[in-house]
Amino acid sequence: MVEVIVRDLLKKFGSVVAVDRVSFNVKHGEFLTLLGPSGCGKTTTLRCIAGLEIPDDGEIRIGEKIVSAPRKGIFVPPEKRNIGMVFQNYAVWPHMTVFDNIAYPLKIRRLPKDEIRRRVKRVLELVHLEGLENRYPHQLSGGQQQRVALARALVMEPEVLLLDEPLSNLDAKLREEMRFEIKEIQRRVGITVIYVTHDQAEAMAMSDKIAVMNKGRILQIGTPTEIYRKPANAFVAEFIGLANFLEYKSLRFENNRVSVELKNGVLLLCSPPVKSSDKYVVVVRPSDIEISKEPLPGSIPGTIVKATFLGGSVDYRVDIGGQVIRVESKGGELMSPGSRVYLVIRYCVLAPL
Amino acid sequence: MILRYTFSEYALWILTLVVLAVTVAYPIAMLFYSSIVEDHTITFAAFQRMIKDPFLPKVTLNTLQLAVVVTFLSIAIGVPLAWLVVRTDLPAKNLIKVLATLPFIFPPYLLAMGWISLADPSIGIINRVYRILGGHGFIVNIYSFWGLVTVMASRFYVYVFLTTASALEQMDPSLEEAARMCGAPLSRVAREITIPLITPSIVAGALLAFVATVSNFGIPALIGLPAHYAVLTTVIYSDINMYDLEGAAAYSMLLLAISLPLLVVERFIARGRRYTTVTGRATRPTLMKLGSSRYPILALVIAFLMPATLFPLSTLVMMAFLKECYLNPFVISNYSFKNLYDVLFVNPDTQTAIQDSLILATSSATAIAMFGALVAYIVLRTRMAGRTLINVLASAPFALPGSVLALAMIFAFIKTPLFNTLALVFVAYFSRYLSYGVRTCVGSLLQIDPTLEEAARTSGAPWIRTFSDIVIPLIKAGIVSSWILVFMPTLSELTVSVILAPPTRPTIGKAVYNLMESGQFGWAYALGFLVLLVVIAGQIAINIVSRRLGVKTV
Ligand SMILES: Nc1ncnc2c1ncn2[C@@H]1O[C@H](COP(=O)(O)OP(=O)(O)OP(=O)(O)O)[C@@H](O)[C@H]1O
Ligand SMILES: [Mg+2]
Repeated sequence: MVEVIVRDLLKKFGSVVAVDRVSFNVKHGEFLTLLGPSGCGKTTTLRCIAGLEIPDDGEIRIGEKIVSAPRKGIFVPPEKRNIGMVFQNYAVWPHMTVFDNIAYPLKIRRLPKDEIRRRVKRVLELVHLEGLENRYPHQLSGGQQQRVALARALVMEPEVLLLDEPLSNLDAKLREEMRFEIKEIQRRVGITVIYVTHDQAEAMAMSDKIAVMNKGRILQIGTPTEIYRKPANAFVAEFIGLANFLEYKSLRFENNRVSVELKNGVLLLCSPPVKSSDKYVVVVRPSDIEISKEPLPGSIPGTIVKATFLGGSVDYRVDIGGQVIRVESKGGELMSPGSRVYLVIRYCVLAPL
Repeated sequence: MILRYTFSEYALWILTLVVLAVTVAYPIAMLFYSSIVEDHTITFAAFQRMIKDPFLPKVTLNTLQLAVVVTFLSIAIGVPLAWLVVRTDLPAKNLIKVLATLPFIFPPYLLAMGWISLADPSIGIINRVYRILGGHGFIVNIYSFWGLVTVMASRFYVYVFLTTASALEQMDPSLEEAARMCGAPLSRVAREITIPLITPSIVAGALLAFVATVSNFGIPALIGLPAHYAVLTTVIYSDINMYDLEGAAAYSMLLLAISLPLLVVERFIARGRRYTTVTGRATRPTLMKLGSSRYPILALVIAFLMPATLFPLSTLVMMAFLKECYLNPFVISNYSFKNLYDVLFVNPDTQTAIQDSLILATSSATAIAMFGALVAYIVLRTRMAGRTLINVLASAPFALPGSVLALAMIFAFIKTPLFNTLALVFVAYFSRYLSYGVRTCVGSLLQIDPTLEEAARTSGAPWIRTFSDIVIPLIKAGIVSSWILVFMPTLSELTVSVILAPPTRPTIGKAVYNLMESGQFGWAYALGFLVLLVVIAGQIAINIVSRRLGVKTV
């Protein structure tokens, strides 16, 4: 039903190009995350969709309606877009009670009083804030204020919900909890969500699709698995999870495999890159490497340089002849630096540089 | 912090308490005591007078009427101006900010003199131009209710402007954006979000403007008295002049009954947590685009601000240099340095006034800079007994209107040799401006991590050594700025001096006032011009100090 389509979105602040011709689609009921380092233009993209910034070029479409198209002279102001938005710092109005905060969008729409009361009650249940209607924001914890902001965005049953780093002001434990809850609410309400974060774990856990951004551009859009398993380039590979970049001597492309000869002569079979280029790196996730004391077929010999016990796993640095790589080992006995080990690479992929 | 003190620490602590007792607690206590007790019997004399005085209701009404009108005007000017400066893309904002806050750096009576030079029926430039153009009599008369209102509003609106501007600056723009996302059009956002959120600040600024109007003496003395518009402060002054201390006490009690509760409310609002809106990361507010009306609005704002300050100040300067005040101001040859020369080198009265004021300002600035630092340190960084009391005492006199404080000093010291000497003026200055020193030092002390001092204590330095070796050097900038901040107003102080300075030894403020009253405008304006120069120099100095040494002044 409601799809958000962004085409060639351009937004400059003076000479700074904050969003550099970004395009993406979000299908109805889909959860898209804009992920990227600080200052890459995530917030600006979101604010353009919200109508809080006026884009310089491109087109934004929500459902059937074009809400912004500078070339055609179209700009729908934010209050006419029927979009819910949750701000990073909650933006809960301090002079209104929880009830008044949440009821505000409905009052604007002139709904009858009892209808307002019913809908506020329902959304309060949805975000688990029953009984706090008459409190003022300063009487709430950070997490509760966050829920009020979420409830206020949901109560008008918008077609699209925008969230800008909604969890970044919460402590780690609450953050995980809210992650799960927001995802759950989205599933139940069936709303289209565009979510902004720079926390890759958050993005992986919640999204149907992730758009990785850097310097105002989108580098890759895909499901979390696609992005993790087949990164479009070295930046994406490094930004999403841990990655080793191995140097190679030569490449041979086969049907849907690439045979890679590493500097130390070892041969590897890797997944092909998502698009061709003239230079590549071999990406190996530390968790895709098996470590053992005995040589195995096709294994790479090495020496442990450093071992860090992390509780559930051990983080090894292994010297494989000129290059030190990270290995994440679950279980097994703790091996000490200096030990001779053999590494088996279970999965590797080529990424264009 | 360490709880046991050495002998010298106790000595300093006792000294602090004694100084505050003599200069603050005792005078204020005597003010109330004398209003209640007469010849050792409780008579409530001041309050009886209050009931019986036939003149009192009229004066009270005058005062309140003036304050209400000035306050409403202050809101009407201050709020839109603050909004334009903070929330729109108006050009030349820095210039506007400077112009808008300019009246604040000058003593009120100087502005009154400026306005008199502009709109006095006979010597005012406007009326002279009117007559040169062929008119008869005058078209504007500053000596009227609306003249009084104009002068006071043009100075006291700055309170509303500053509090509103800072509320708008500190307000998180996403609070407004959230409302727009909820579907509220801009007009509703303004009505339901922005205005309610900044209302406490507007009210706080309005209360300050109201109290300032009620407590001010200089403007109603120079403009209200000729207009036969008496207010509480001017009546207190004339009662004291006629040795009717009982009457002065009655009016003082009334004045305090009006101003103190309002100041308490203002403090309450300013501290209120409920409306704290600064949260999370600061985001830039989206400036409202004024579009093609940018420059017309700018022109309008400047056309409004110029007459409010620059015009009266320029005519003040003109008057200082006109050989005789009635000469045509549009003939260059009518100007000379004669008045200035007379004031500085010929007239013995103004010469002693300048000398006395310099001595008074230097000594009180020095005393306050030192004592203020000590009080700030004791209050903020020690656990000594009576810290709260010390803090309250140090800031209490600032809440008193100058004329009431002067009356308190009279009651306290009338039977001592201090009475009718410049030494009593010094004590009154010290008391009145002490809070400047304390606040400035508190400000800079707050920026310094207490561990720096704790490190000194653990290295074996006692409290006093810590204070002199660590604290003083670190808050040097604060001490320097508090010195300047006290020096400037005391050099030109009017209200306290006019009441307490001996007739033969007037201060600059009192000398200016006497000259104005006796119609010796040339000398009065020449002296006023000197004050203007000192104020501007002081302002520049304070900017340099705060920029060089990185302190924020109060
Ligand atoms: N109002 C503005 N005026 C000028 N420059 C801006 C403005 N807003 C954003 N920028 C610039 O645009 C770029 C993108 O900013 P944006 O806020 O979109 O980044 P972000 O990806 O949300 O970063 P973060 O993770 O730190 O929130 C940055 O270089 C920023 O400095
Ligand atoms: Mg951001």
